[in-house]
Amino acid sequence: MGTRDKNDLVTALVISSFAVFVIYEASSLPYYSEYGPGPGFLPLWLGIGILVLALSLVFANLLGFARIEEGVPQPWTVVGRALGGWFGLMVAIALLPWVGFGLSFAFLTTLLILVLEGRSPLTALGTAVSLSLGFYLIFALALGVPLPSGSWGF
Amino acid sequence: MALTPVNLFWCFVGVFLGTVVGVLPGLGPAATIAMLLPLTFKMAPTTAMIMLAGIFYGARYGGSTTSILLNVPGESSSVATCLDGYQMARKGRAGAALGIAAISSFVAGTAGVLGLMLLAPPIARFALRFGPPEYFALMTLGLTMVVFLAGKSMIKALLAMLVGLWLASVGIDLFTAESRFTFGQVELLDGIDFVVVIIGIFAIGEVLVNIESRGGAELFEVPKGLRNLLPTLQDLKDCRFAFFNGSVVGFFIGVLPGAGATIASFISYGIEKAFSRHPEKFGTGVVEGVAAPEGANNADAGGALVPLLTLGIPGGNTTAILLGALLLWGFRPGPLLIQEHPELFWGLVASMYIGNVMLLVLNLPLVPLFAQILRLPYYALYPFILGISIVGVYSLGQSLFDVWLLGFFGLLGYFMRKLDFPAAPLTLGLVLGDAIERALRQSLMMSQGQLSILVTRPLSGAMLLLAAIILLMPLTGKVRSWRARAVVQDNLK
Repeated sequence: MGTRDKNDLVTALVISSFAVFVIYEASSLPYYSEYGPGPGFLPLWLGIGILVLALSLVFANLLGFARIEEGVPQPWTVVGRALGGWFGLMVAIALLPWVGFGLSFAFLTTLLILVLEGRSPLTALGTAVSLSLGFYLIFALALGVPLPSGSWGF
Repeated sequence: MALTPVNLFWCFVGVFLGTVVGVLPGLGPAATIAMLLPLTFKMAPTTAMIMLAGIFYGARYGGSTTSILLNVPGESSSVATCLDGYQMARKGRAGAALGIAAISSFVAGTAGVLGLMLLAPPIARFALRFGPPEYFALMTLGLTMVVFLAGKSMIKALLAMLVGLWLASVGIDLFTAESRFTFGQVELLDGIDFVVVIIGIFAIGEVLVNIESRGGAELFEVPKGLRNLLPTLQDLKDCRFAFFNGSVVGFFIGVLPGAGATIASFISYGIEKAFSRHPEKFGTGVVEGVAAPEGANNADAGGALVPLLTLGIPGGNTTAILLGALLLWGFRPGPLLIQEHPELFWGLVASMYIGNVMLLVLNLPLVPLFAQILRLPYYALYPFILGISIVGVYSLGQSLFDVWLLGFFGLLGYFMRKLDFPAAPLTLGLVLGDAIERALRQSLMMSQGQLSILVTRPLSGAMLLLAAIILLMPLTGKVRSWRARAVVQDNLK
């Protein structure tokens, strides 16, 4: 079984678990009432549909129906870089209520440019400050769009 | 009356503001109109209506810009434009994509105004025949567009669509006020905002995929010379059917209250692909894949004004606010509006013609300028996209919870890309989920639980039959290929 088939199999099993969760939660909601279908009606059938399709994907992979061209397998480092970027984004979001948009966005920009792209600290800081300032000038000042503010009020 | 200098000025202000609002993801015309409404009390009602309507259809123009350049849908109705528009940008044809979006929006927008002018009363009466079973059938027809958005795996596309439908069910149930899948979070009682999901999946997901490898100085090739930045004559010829398709689909779906420009753009895209001589190229950057949905979402604006002006029925948030404005000024939208206040109706129609020309004149020269965004070095472009996504989502309701959700959906979008799950079906399910559930439950209430109501009414029966045919179409392709393989094997024996 190739890498892509294994990925599809694992994904299908994860989605099946999700479907079981949806069916379980939907079962605790009223299915039908005197006025017609209840809040549990559609989610229950959606859960069943997702489960059926996920199991179809499992069997299609096991029986070889869903094979797609293999392509070049990617090393885990490339996924690691993307996940590193995502982690940086989540840290920046966590910092928003503390330091506000300007500083947390500058942190995110610096992380992406300095750590992930390997550029010089000067390039990273320069870009971070320019972009943060640009966002503040265009959105907050010119357009009056609210930006997340921190404990210091900006 | 629309040609007075004052009206022309405010028409320009409206379309300009609308374009800016449409470009910025998260900001929508409804909020902008609501904010500017108090300012219009000092204007003549016709002038004010001209400006506010300009914001409405201007936003449809603007939504395509970030969709094409950054894969960030500016408006929910611009999601379908991302599918081919962004791919055109990756191939160095960002200018052509922006140009064809502007031209298609102009052509279909003008067609929408013509429809409003000539067909408003009879079309409005037809729209009244649409009840919950017809809406359910229309939404189901919209969901079958998944067939054209499926890519390599139909199972994965259907899975994505069902997950989208499930996402739409998160929040308070409309009928019983019971909370569903909120996990005790107060912020989820209102459901998950569509904009948060699409920006997360499309924009953040795309950035994460691009971060995987260290790129060069420029992300995409930006052609030099004005001629290379605009669509060619061949592009315009290729889009003839797309202009017609977008105009008709957008207008007629816009007439139906609650249907929305998003469904119009997806149906138009699906029809364009179905009738194309090279459907396999859709999703890789074909110009018709931009022209059709962009035309539909602009023609929809004209269609959406039909029930508002002739019946007093708003089709969505934006037209609901416009209705509020009309009532504040003392007008009674309904069958007698055209007779009692012809200056309002015809002034508005005339201003929409002028507004469409203004939008074309405004947007075409800006195409080379917008395309220069792609000259930003990639290490500055990624943070810019992330920043604009955070700002856009935060502007919806000033909620940090939405920003957290943005990050989560960004990760989901990344893994969907890696595992070949198409994002468009999920979007389709999310957009139509609420409406389709509401229509189904209302239909079953009307019929005391009998599903036959959906097929015994002629309009809904016809649409469901068409949906069934569309869903079965891929199977006929598979049967033909199995037969062809069997014939080859027989010949080899």
